[in-house]
Amino acid sequence: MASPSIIPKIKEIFNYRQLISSLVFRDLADRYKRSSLGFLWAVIEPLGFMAIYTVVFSIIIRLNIEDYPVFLLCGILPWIYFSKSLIYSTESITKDSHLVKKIYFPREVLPISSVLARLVNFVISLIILEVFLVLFRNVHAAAALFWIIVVILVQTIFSIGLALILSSLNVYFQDVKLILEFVALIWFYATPVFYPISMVPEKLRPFYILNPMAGIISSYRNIILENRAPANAEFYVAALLSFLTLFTGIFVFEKLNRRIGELI
Amino acid sequence: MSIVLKVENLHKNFRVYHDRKIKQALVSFVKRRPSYTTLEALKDINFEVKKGECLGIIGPNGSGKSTLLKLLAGILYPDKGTIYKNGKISTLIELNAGLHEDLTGIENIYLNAALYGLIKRQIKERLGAIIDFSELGSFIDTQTRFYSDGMRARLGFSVAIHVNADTLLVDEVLAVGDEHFRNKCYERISELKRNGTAIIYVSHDMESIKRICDSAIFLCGSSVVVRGDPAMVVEKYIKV
Repeated sequence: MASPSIIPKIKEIFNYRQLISSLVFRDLADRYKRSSLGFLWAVIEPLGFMAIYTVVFSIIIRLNIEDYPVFLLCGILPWIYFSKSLIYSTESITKDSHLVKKIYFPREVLPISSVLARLVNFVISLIILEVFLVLFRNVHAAAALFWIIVVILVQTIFSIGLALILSSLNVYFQDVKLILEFVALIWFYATPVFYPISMVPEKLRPFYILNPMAGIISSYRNIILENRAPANAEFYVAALLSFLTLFTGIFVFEKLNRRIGELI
Repeated sequence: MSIVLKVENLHKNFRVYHDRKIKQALVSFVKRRPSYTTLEALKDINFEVKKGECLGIIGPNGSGKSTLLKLLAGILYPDKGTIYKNGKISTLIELNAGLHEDLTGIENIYLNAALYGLIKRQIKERLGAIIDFSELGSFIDTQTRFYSDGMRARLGFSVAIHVNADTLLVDEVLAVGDEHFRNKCYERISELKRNGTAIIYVSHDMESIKRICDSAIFLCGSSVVVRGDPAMVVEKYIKV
């Protein structure tokens, strides 16, 4: 029953695109609207974090990597996007139980818009980083634009696939969100966020790149730091696994969705 | 006339879990015994609704009325049987569920209408009519946290009633709002009905069942006791 039902499902989700954008807006409004600076926080937040990382890693902790603050930012910004996507989307269905119980809409839109709201934050932080690089590091941002969009797309597909699984599973077992915190920490160390992929022993590399986030984050670095297209094995593996994760996610969601209306 | 909704041999069971802990799940997995008891919510329901027809559903609390509506809406999945839907089904249950208090009236119209699957262009087309119907005037630009319950209900209802559905599911919502707004809602429902919208109406208000519905179903103990002319069905219900 998987393949024939996936196409109409994707179509239906597409028909509800207005709901997705409304939910993304609501998500961001939830976070910023009641503050006195409002949506300006969406810019201040990443700016503040980036300033802190830069100061800490160029003055206090110095590693033997060229321009370490920028190296780190290229890894940590996508990582924040990834981990927050998972953490927020896991509770996206249980949090909106009052809607899920009362009215019909394809429930997939809840985890999807939860990930897309984080994407908005991520894109803002990337733009800030790019501006910084153009101003202080003499980097030409435009050349990398196309490839960076491709990598963002792959990461988003991967995140949505996982979000579909986590959010529906969390309705059945609320332990999911508790377990996730540990998994996210392990995953963080298994991903080249604060170290380069070349530091991983050659022997372990084939297993290491089975983690799509490894290929994704090293691709961001290739593009931003070296202006190089991410045409390498780890990126292809990441892209393939991301699509696989998305289809698995849609399939699992469809299965678990049948009892969500009564369990929630 | 064409049939917009047909329900055949519909069954719905609920699983009541004894304990949703992993230990329990493991024990029952090993013993090959389910960790829940099954509660029959609906059994063998059959009916059909034609274009422009209004079907009333009455019955005591716990008889399965709301479960039936949720199955029709697609919120719950049936265990057995089929629901043939011809066209779009829209729900009017607890209208203000979709409102978000930090957003203004207009922003909430967009969010709420999107919940019903409308896209931006369709919402824009209807925005004026929705605002007029809600009678909220200049409050429409205010955050809904400052609204009274009545205002919230009016806003929610105004959106729901402007979603062009082929079948409209109505669950007790008309109990909210003042006399004036309530009458307006009845009028609007009759208008939709004249234009061909089928309506499934759940209520404890027997007068409105007799007034609006073309036929009615009396649900009791998970199954249909009697169906037919609303006046006759209401009489049966009152006797029981």
